[in-house]
Amino acid sequence: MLANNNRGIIRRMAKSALKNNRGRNLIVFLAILLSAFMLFSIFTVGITYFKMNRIQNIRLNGGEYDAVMYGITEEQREKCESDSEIKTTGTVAVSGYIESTGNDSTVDASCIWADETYWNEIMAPARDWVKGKYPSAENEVMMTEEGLQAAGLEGLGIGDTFTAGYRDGEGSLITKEFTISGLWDGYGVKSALYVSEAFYEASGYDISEVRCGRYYLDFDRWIMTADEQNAFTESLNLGKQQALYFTGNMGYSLPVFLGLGGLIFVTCLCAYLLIYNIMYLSVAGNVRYYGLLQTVGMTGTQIRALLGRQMTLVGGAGITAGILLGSAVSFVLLPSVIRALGIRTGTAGAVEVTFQPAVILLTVLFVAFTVYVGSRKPVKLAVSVSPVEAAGYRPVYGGNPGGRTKAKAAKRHRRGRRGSVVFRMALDQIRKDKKKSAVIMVSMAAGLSVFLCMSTILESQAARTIVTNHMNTDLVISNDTLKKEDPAEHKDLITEDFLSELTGISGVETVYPMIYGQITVPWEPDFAEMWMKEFYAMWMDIPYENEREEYQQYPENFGSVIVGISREELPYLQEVTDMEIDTDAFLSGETCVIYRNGLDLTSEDVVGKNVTCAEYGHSENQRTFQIAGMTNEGYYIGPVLGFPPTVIVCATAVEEFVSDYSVFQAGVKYTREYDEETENEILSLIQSSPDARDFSWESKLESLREVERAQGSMPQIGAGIALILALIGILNYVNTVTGNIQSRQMELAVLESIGMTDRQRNRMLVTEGMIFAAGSLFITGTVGVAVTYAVYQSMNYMLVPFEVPAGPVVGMTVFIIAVCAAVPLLAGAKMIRKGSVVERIRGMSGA
Amino acid sequence: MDWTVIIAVCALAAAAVQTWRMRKLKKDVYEFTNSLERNMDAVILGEKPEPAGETEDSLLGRVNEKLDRTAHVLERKEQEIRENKEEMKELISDISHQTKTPIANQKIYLEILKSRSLPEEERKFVEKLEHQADRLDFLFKSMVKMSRLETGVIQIRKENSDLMDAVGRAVSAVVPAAEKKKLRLSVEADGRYVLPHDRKWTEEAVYNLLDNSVKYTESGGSIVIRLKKGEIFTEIHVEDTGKGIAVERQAQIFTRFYREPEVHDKEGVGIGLYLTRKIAWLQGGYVEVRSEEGKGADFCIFLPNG
Amino acid sequence: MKNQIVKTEGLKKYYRLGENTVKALDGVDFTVKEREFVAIIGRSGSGKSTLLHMIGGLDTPTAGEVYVDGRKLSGMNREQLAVFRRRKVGFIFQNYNLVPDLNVYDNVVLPVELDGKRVDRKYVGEILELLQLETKLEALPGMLSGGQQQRVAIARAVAAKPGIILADEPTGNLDTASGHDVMGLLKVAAKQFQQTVILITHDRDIAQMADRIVHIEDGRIVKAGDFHAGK
Repeated sequence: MLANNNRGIIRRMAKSALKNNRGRNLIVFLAILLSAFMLFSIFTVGITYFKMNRIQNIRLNGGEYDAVMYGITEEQREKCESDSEIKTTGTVAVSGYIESTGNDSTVDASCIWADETYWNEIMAPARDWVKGKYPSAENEVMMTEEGLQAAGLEGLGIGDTFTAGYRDGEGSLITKEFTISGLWDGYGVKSALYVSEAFYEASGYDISEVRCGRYYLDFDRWIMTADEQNAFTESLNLGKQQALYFTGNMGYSLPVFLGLGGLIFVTCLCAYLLIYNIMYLSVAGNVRYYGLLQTVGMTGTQIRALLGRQMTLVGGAGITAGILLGSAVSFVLLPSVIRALGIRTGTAGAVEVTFQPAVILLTVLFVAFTVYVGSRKPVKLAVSVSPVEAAGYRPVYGGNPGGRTKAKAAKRHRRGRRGSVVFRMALDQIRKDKKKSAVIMVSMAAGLSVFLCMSTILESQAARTIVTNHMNTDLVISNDTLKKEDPAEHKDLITEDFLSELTGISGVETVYPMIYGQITVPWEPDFAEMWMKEFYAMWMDIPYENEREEYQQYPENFGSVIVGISREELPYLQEVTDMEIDTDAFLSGETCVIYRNGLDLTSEDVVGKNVTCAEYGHSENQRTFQIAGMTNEGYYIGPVLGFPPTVIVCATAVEEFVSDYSVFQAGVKYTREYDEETENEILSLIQSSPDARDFSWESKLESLREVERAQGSMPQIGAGIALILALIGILNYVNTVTGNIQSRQMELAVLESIGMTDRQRNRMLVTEGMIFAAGSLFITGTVGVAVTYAVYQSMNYMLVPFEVPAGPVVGMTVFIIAVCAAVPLLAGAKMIRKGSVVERIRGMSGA
Repeated sequence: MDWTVIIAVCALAAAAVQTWRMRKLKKDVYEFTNSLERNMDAVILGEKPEPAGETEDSLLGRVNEKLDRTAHVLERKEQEIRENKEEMKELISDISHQTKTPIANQKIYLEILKSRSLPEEERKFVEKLEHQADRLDFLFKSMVKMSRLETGVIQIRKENSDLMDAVGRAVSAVVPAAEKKKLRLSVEADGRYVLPHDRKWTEEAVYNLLDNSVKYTESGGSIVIRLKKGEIFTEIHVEDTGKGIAVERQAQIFTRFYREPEVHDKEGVGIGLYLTRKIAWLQGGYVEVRSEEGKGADFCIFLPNG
Repeated sequence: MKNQIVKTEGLKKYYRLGENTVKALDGVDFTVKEREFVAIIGRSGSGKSTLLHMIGGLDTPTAGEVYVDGRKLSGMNREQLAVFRRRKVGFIFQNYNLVPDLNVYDNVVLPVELDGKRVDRKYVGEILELLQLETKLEALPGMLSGGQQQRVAIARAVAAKPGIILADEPTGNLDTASGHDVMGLLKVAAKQFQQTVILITHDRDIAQMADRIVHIEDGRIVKAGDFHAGK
């Protein structure tokens, strides 16, 4: 059937309703504006971040890929190529190293062959320009201008030739004349010479070798959790030397993505709650109005259209304004947000804020959806209003006419015998419409929770992300001379005197010196043989068999170090060692701990075995330790890492065993963490030494400052976000309270007429506000803290204990209490100004 | 070009065309409905429908043509009704005219008869006869008035003037009868009551009320005429101290030929109040009575101020 | 004999109130003829409002039938009832129930516009003139006195030419004088625009102005003074 065309009146009524409910609509408009603004900003930040992140990664990596594998077998290649999740794969083969050219005898540049997909697809986005063509003949090369310069070939161009000597896969040095077939510029390994496939084939290298093959993988997805990454690596059955590295991109994207997603969700939730509440209140307070419209003959469809039209108008205006505001603000704030999220302008170029239609579309979509969902229920309510309500003589407050209220009232009456009247009445008021009260509390709690979460995360950023010093000491001082290859340059800088001076500084709690001595580990068939075999398999290109003999005869060619730690440090060593260390045996110098050095050895393989050490240069001075465990803690490497194991024993054992030992490093713990004064004293102590330049130190305090610098204006922006959300929640509260007081105007006037003073009324209203404040704080304290905890732990790389910062929490609590108290007071005061008691009692019967 | 693209473009184009046609159709339907509604309103009001598209080969033309014919049929029927009414009116006026002379003659003869010396018994009959002749005369006169009002031949002509004029004339018309019954007549009014009304018919209406009150009020009683100007209506009250009207009969007294059951012996034909109500209605007002049995009656004419 | 525009047959409406059943209407048979002006009189709680709501399709009966203009109401859904009211019934309430956002003119033509119908300006003008509202067209309801608001409500009830006007204590919130004025205008308007009026009231004086008075008590009609009002 043809529908009646009666839309004109609906349009007009919607318009006049908007005009006449300015207050309500302003709040809805603001809420929509704020959420559109938030969403727009979040989307813009998100998209810009991911875009910049991609550019940064492309530039850092010299190509667009998510993972790179060293060495590739045919089998693995097939598997990857048939994997539907992998978009592109490209292969690169290191096919030799240039050692000299006609003009420069010390060139260090690799010859790389890139296959077509790598050159054309993976690497293309990282290049700025290409001239000429990719080499096809064996003697053709593709280079950058920097590469030419580094090889002493500056000024050459396409078509020019040069002679260079390079070492091929067999290790033989070949001299060859190359022709430059092309030049390029961009990001990546610019010193390399890109060569033809023919060159690779003749080079004696094979891509299945780890030293040659680089297999680049570009996944379809742009987020991969650590677990998924591991599972993928597992599925490839990597050979011992083979390795698969994922770029940081995929792992780090996830928390950022989740974080932004969470913010979108909370924003939508807040906006939803507010819109829902306002609309619901507005409809519930106008039950008669909708009933009346129905008696006049408005159908449900028309009421729906009427409200729909109002929401469309307000929503449209709000979204537009929000997007405009978002655009304006984005220009100003975005660059700093993006930098704070870890994009370095140096690599990725200036932050370009891009406005994509998708952002606007997404914002509109999300907000529109929120508005729709938020107003659906209230509209339903408006439609379901019985026209009889309109015919009633007295305006009906609340949604339950008839006996229910009476029964409830009676029940309440029986229940509430204790407590002051004022408190009881306030509580009743909140209990009267539990849903509404809950909505307000949740919406305020959402803002508070985000604030709590943000401030906790930002506050703890330093603690969570600083790669702390060994044993979490405040300062680690190292003697850099000991790292030099020439023993003549070694100096004993951290002397007894220095240490005692250090300990003398008032702010210093403990000093943990670490001494070391040079040793050799003579060959023996059991442990030494096993270790060296593993070591060669893992780290060396040459088979152990080729060198075993040299090792057996000249162990001094295979130097290593023995590290001694103080008694106080043992508990920490125990923590990072996988086996139980017998304290007495260790302290008496009978046992030792071995640094694992990434080898595929388990504790079961080595524990109980003996390692024999000889003092370097005095091979007759030998000592044997029983191995008590292995550790991965890199701190115990000492100044150099040799082929044989690094042996960690107690300091006294080193002093007894080796004659030439010195302190390599000293960890310093302050009485008070991050104590600037103590740090300055220590630094000036170091500076006073004549060899000050040979000291190096790592300071926790400096790392903290580094993190703070990196955060940039993040705290302010975080506070801004929380503030907007809190504002939405508070708008909700303000609206409800004013609406509530207005609809209770008569009730309050009646109370006044029977002798309630202004003070008492205010006390009642403030008590109500306090209950709201308490409720939302309670939700924040439970759900909000739980969420914060979850977020915190997901970013807690350093396993720092969870702690909520006190300052912001106190501030937040005071703020919310102040708002909850002030709003009803103001609303109450405004009501009083409206007229005398009698006027207000009577005032309700009118239209 | 890709097939799917071609198909998609075609589908899109088809959809666009279809949407455009739907919109046009909708517009047409709305226009059709509006035009039809306008013309039907015209027919209801007895005006000529606007001949939109009557000569076109369109649905609207078809419907409008039919409407036009409907209007014609209705007009013809109305014409017939009018003619019938006219006939009725003429008939009534003929009757009244034709009976006028016989009644007048009758009255003359009765007058003559009365002047003769007749025995007491005969004289009584003659008096009764005379009374009945008067009633007959009054009845016919009233019926003529009624028929004229009813058939709308006589137009109410509202003019701004002081209501007191009409009321005054009506009062002076009943003064003789009131004096005869020794009734006290008083008028309560202050100022002028200028409002649009038909002087002649308003006088008639007030006179009927007064006549009624005089009839139903026992001698020695009183009749108060009170004028009152309200926000919307001006009220002309005629309050008597007569026997009053029972509540359940109050709605009926304004109907044609209604007479109080216990007063059949009194003169009157039960037409005055009916006329009064009619006159009030025709001037956009109404009448009302407030009374309780035995406690007098308050008749009131409400005439709109503006 | 004129048509019966309203007819109820064995109309019953029971409410459950806690453990008691309240019989708001208990078998009402009631008819109204076209162009009749009927007053239903009864004390508060007698069921008179319920009866009016039933006739207006605002409420559904527990048992029995309501016919308005030959149409049975019990088969209609909410949407149909709304359209029915829009076209057949005009309501006048004690508390006026004007749409506060709309001015007088828009309030009056609201039911017409809700039906998408063309507004007959001449007709509306006549109504407004009759009700002496022609100077208040642009005013919002809040700016008018009670009597004026009720006159707007009458105009609204008449504007859609509904055929039947249901008035629920139309003078309840008015002082005697303006109440009387409003009733007079209602009467005049109903007469002029040939409408049937059913009025409920507890005020005998007001009821007196009707052609016929129906008494209702405890959900039953106790005395139907049907005087066959001639015309």
